[in-house]
Amino acid sequence: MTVANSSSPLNWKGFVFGRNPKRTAIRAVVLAVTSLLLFRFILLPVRIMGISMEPTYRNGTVNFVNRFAYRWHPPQRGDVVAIKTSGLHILYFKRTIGLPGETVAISNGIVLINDQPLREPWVRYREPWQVPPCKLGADEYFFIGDNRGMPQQQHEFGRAGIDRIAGKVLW
Amino acid sequence: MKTLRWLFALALVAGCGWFAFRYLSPTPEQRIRKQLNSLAETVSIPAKVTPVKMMMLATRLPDYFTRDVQVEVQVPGEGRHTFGSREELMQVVQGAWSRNNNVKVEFLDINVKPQGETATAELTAKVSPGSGELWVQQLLFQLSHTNKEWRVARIEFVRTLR
Repeated sequence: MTVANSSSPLNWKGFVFGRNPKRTAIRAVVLAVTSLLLFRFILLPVRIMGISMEPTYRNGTVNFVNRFAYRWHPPQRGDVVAIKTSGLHILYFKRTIGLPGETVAISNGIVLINDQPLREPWVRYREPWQVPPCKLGADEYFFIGDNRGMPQQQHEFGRAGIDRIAGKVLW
Repeated sequence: MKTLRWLFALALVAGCGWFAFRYLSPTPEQRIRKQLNSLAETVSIPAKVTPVKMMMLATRLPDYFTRDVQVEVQVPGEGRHTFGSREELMQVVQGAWSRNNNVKVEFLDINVKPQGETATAELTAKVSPGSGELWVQQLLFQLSHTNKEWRVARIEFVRTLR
């Protein structure tokens, strides 16, 4: 009677490389290439740092940016997008509130689009922010974070061109 | 088979030669990138820095800038401030060093555009203090080629969202 020793090198080799090592190697290469392409060019993994998008996105959580989201249609109001700095290493997560050609202002914390108040269910607390009206250009959008309970000076917001948008936040 | 081996060896030699050439004679873009990364490293303060090391960093720092370097700082809520000379900038940096320790500065996504004897570099500075919040700022550097070295002539803050 023979007893197979589970810690023998032969079994470990079989466990790691499979019954057909050549096929396992091909699978590993395909998986690596697919992951590389997926997470580099389609879904960018990001870690959220900062409080400007609270309570929607918490500091320290992980998310993905869909780089193909705006390939076939432009950003919609309410979309949370990732905005490029000088590249893709550091991105700003902001909500799109103003669309091209619109006039955006903030009066006592209320966002006004073409002088009409915007309903923002994603905002929980509001400080009395004041932003004078600004007319957006033909390819400009207005972005702002959901945390309006923080001081206006400490919150990065404003307009940017469509070329600054890296993609849409996945969830 | 022999020919194939020769071809492989030739390709290997050509590849090594190309890398050696690129390493020994870098393009202005590569030089600027290297210079800026070195600047970020010099401005960073390690956790347990000795006074001697601090002095060495302080001596090295002016070499990265032209004598009349201009730095335009824009702090939200506090307006715009311009430093107009290397000495003034050194005082500001040394003041920041004395107030903080364990600060890591990184320049990310450096986009260099050389234009003859001058160049511009757009980058994102990431400042990670040992304790406290991360600070990120997009910057535009203007560099000039003087005495065979690329030196920073101007730094200005770029607002990602206007």
